[in-house]
Amino acid sequence: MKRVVWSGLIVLFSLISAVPSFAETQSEHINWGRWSFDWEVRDNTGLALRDVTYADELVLAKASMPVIRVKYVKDMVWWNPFTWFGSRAESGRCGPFQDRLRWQDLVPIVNCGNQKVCVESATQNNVKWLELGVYGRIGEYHIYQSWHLSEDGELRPVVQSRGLSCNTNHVHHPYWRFDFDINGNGMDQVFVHDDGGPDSGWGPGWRKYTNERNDVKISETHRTWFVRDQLNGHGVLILPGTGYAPLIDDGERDRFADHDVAIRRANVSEDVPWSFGARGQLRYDEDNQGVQEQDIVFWYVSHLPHMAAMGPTKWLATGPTLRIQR
Amino acid sequence: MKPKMAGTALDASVRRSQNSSAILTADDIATLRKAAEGDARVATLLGSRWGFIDANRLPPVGKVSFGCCRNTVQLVRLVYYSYSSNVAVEVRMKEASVFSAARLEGYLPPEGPQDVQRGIELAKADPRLAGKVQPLEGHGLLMQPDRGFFRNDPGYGHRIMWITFSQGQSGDPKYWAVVDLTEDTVLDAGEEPPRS
Repeated sequence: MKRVVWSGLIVLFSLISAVPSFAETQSEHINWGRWSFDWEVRDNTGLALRDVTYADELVLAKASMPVIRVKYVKDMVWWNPFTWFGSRAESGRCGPFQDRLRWQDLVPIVNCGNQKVCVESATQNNVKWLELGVYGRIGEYHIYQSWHLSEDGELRPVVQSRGLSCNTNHVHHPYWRFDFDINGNGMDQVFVHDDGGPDSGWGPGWRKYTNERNDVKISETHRTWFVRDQLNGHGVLILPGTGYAPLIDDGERDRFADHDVAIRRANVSEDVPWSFGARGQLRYDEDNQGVQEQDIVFWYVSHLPHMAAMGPTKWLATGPTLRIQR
Repeated sequence: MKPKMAGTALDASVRRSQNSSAILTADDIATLRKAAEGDARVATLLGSRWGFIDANRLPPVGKVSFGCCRNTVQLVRLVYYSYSSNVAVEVRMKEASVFSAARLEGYLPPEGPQDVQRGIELAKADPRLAGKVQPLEGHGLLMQPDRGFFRNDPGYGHRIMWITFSQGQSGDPKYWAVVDLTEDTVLDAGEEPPRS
């Protein structure tokens, strides 16, 4: 009898030790409500989602955040003409920086079960939301990068940041990369809508992108974008962020990050860690490829201003809204 | 502590399952590094002074969303920075063997633990900071000096770290240093001025 008990204990112990640590996994599959997807942290692209389906139809092959470019302002000293012009204007007092979140940068989140990837659901205004987030520590920065999915088909990528690399005003520019694959057939179309715009055959205010290009937000016309599958018409609206208090929107582009969105044809060789440095704008458009009825990548850039006077403890948040349309 | 969002109750309806093919443990990385760093081709590329940056399983190429091999990822990419050659080096490992090794010209990989550690060591020893930063915690972030119109910023084209010293993880720097890891030297250092 004793031998049986010991054998049982040994088998039990070996089974337990064979199970990999749940908290250490760098990728999981999640089913929640009508959503199904994998998350992963690898390749310097933060917390990414793969094979995202909603109501059993593919929406995104991958959604990631390859970089947050950070630009600090230049100190201008009135009595020193060497500070008035010159290269430091493009540099700022410190930086610029290119923040890329990796597994090794993540810390256990104490108010989420000490897990490195927080998965929580909550209800807000009677709508259920699922939140996936990671807490990165790089340099002086505290960065919380998260994805929020609602049961009724909204997807919100959010970056929250605090901490100062130097005591000067600066702007964080997160770059989100959405590799759309709506209905999974590579027949995506991208449209832009401006209130009051002409009807060019797609309805009042709607225009269709024909080739790769960068574009900007226009708040006066409430500019929005729509990526859809040509065959079944299902799509995703991309709406500029309306701001998380105390901010009122997701910021203004500047010379350092000179566009708000970019439309590219998907290319495996472009699904790589950020390659353009801290100073480089997004490229991948040198060949100006056509984007009509193609496999599409949509980049969204937001611009999070951080006034140094606010200090290092105030969290600031930014990010757009994606809304499924069927 | 993460910023608080509305509601915190974990919903039991979240179904989670591990993708075991994506796991890369510290032991895995140590084993792969040992094999890579013992390889003659890699040693030649790294030169005499280098730092390890990070390791990743290579994701599947393309959009394979079905079939047996969707999650079968064979290769692991190790990234290093050769300070002596001033270039990033990528080593692709297949199991415990070097599959390929190459210089990544112009690529600025994220800061690795050795980048940060060496940056802090050099900054602490700098006469401008010596004796002032010992009770503080050091932090490091990769920065990128600019090409200038008349002259380039100091450290242009080199592996440059912005090193700061603050109370713990307050995010509130008290001292700073610009460290050139390519030259293994401190370019500039000082006390952080008050917030503007």
